[in-house]
Amino acid sequence: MHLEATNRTPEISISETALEMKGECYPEDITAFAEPILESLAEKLKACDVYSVSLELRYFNSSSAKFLFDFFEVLEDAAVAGKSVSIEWRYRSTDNSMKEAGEDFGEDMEEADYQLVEI
Amino acid sequence: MSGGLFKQEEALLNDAKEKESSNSFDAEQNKLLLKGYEKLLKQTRRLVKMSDRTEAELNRMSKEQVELNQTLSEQNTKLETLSVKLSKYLSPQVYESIFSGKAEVRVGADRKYLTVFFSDIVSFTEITDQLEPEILTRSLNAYLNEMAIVAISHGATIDKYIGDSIMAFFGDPETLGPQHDAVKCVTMALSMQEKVKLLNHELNKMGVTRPFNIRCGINSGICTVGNFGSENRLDYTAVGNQVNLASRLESASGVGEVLISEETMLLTQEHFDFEPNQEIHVKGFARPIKTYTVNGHKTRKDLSGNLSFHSKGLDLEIDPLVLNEDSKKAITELIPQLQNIIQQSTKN
Repeated sequence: MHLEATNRTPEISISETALEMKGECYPEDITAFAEPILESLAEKLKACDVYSVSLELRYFNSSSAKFLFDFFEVLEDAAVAGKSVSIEWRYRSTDNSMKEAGEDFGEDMEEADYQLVEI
Repeated sequence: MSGGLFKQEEALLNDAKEKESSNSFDAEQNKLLLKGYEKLLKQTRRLVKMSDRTEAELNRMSKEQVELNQTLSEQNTKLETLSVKLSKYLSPQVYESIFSGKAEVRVGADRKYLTVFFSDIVSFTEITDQLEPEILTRSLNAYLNEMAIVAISHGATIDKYIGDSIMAFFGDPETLGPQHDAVKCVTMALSMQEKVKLLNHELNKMGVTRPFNIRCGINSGICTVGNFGSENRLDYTAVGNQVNLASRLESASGVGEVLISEETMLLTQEHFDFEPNQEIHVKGFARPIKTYTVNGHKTRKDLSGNLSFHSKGLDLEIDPLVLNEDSKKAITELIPQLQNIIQQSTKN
């Protein structure tokens, strides 16, 4: 699955072993945006043992924050179920807002390997 | 926000409600509901925190934008002030062509047909040798200021001031055609001669005991005009033999005279009366140069229908060939106003 970036949504690539998301996220219809991603992610996680995720967001709105909570819950649940899940939250060194958001999301990650990466 | 985003939470709540209404709500259901509530509370707290952070960030950016706008506004004001100051160093036409982007500010020149004007104050050094520096400065600035007003009002491009000398030309960056440009130049020179006579009263009050008299030289021809110098320091000017000739005519001109070349005479003969003057020899010209002294404006309706009349308090130039509808309407409207002026003037 590959979605090109738009001015409101990030570029997203989902393969059998990895997911990448990069850009800004404030879609007009959050459900239409989020559901296929969450479904595809759940499907990939079921079929693999090792999965890596890289997120590099520059801005997201409140609806997207709720989507990200659900997104991380899916990943953490998979890790709890025994999958090896590694997550990189990439943020620009000057972007404190994204750094703090990454720290907030990371608080719930106990089994998944969650790393903040300054770029 | 669509309900789909809270699908899990709504499913949990609906399930609990169903079980409660069917009296099957048990401890397991209670545990699930509590867990869901706990998760939702945690997410809500973080969302509020993120929202506050975003709001603070937006406020900071908004403040930065306001400061940036203020800085830009201050810089614009500075630039405007600078631009006004700079405009004083440039002829209005040159300033306009540069600031409107019509002309490129680079080293380069073009061949153009110009009518070139030179003037200077007769015996200026002798007059000013006896003056205090302050009086010299004030009187020279007053003179140049008045001459510049006359030049600009006639559409001249003031090339430069060299002490008490003035170099100006017609034909670049704007032109009305060689003939109109030449007529405007000679008209300007005559106006300057008149203006100096009036100015002498003011100069006398300043302490200049000897009156200023000027001599003017005018020539028309193909010149090289443009930006000369280096990339760091440019001078917009006209150069060439025809320019030298105008300067030479000015030197050969008598006190209070306007001396012109044959080329300028031929371009302007319908508008002015001339008197042939002595031939002069100029470096770069093989033959002696015929010169003419301008006696004044012709007052007649010539064969082409041009009407030209100039006397004290009146400057009239009508060229029927170039009159447009607006000009014709303006003339019709001016006639009763002119009659009114004459009546008022007679009463006074």
